[in-house]
Amino acid sequence: MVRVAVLGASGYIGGELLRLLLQHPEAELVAATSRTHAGEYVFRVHPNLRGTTELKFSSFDGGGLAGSADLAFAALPHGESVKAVPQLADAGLKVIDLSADFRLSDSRMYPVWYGYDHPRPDLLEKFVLSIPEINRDKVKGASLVSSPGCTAITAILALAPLLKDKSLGVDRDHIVVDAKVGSSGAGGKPSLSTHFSERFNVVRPYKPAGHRHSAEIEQVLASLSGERVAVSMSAHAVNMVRGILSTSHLFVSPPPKPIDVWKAYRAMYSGSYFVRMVRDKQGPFRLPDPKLVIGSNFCDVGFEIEERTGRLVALSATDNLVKGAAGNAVQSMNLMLGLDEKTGLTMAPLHPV
Amino acid sequence: MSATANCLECDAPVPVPQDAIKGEIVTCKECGTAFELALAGSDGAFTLLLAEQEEEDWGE
Ligand SMILES: NC(=O)c1ccc[n+]([C@@H]2O[C@H](COP(=O)([O-])OP(=O)(O)OC[C@H]3O[C@@H](n4cnc5c(N)ncnc54)[C@H](OP(=O)(O)O)[C@@H]3O)[C@@H](O)[C@H]2O)c1
Ligand SMILES: [Zn+2]
Repeated sequence: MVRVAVLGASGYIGGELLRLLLQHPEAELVAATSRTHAGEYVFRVHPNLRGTTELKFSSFDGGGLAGSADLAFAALPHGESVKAVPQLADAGLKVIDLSADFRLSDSRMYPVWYGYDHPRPDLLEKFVLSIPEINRDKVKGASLVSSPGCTAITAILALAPLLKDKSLGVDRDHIVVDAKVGSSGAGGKPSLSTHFSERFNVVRPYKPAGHRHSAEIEQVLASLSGERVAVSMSAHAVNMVRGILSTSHLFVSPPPKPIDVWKAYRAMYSGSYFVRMVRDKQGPFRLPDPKLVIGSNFCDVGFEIEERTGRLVALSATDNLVKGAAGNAVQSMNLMLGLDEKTGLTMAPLHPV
Repeated sequence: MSATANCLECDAPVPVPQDAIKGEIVTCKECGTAFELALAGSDGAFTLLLAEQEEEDWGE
């Protein structure tokens, strides 16, 4: 059994981590931290967990955790994680950070994308940005891991094989990612823009250009292809609670045959349980749809080819709280501990939902 | 041909039943493409031919 702590456990990602860890056969949940709910039962904030645990929230005590936990998940806002995580890392705990604070390997990118100077560039070098389907061997040997942004990992899983396989000839300078995101992607803290009357029924373009996750996507794709890759991303808030659909547009001349695209995906994902290829010729469920992955750690991936314009459309769908965050983090923990990466994560998605 | 053939659309192996007969329809598990079994030569082996598939319109 590994003793695990969750920092920022009162948030949406924290709650999802608790849900997954409470039913994980190799994890013992020893602490769930919150500033505002210390002393309260966790099920008072996460009502879905009533009856599953007697655990109460506690205040964060970096030094104290070092004695009681072996591994900590940090689900804090970016800019806050960077203060808490070094205390844990310096005390020798394994850490999985879900914020953006340890995702970018180049510290010079933090003032550009996040508006602050990174205080611990030395730690950035030690963190592995974990996408097991792409770098599981690196994750296996790591004790400090970060998990990508939810739109980033969703887009990356559709794009990575297409950039890795050079024979497809994808134009690396013109990749457009269009993401549609459910409301839980913005976290649990209410605001006017998340107020029901304003949020319900929207198709709101909230970041048409310059999305921060472009930096992570470019970092991963460039390291896979060995060349600079330029990604433009637009994000929309849509009428879902969980879920992301990423529609990526790539340009290829001459356009590839479907069988070659299938081969590129299989070459990367044939041993990856959590990536499901969805490109069906029959029935209503032909391409990825977030509705069909909710509650699970799956990322569904599919594609279509527009011969006339040389456009390759790569689609992917995740539950942003699971494969987009907590599920990917638990999968990473499994690898770090030498367990089967599927441990505690094989639940099928809900249907209908 | 052996007891499997490769899907012409996605390259996944498509099992051909032992007792298959000419004209029988088999469907790829991965991508749902339907194929008609045709005789490849005189030895009774089968090859896959793209079957007529009705284009359903799911658009709005
Ligand atoms: N939502 C997603 O789909 C998603 C996906 C991938 C990654 N992420 C990342 O995961 C992290 C958590 O996201 P979330 O959606 O769970 O947000 P959230 O619901 O707003 O939760 C944030 C958590 O951090 C704590 N917190 C807030 N301000 C703090 C501060 N100044 N100091 C210490 N703790 C503070 C809060 O607890 P108290 O106020 O009770 O202390 C709460 O538990 C973020 O970095 C986010 O970018 C989110
Ligand atoms: Zn097929």
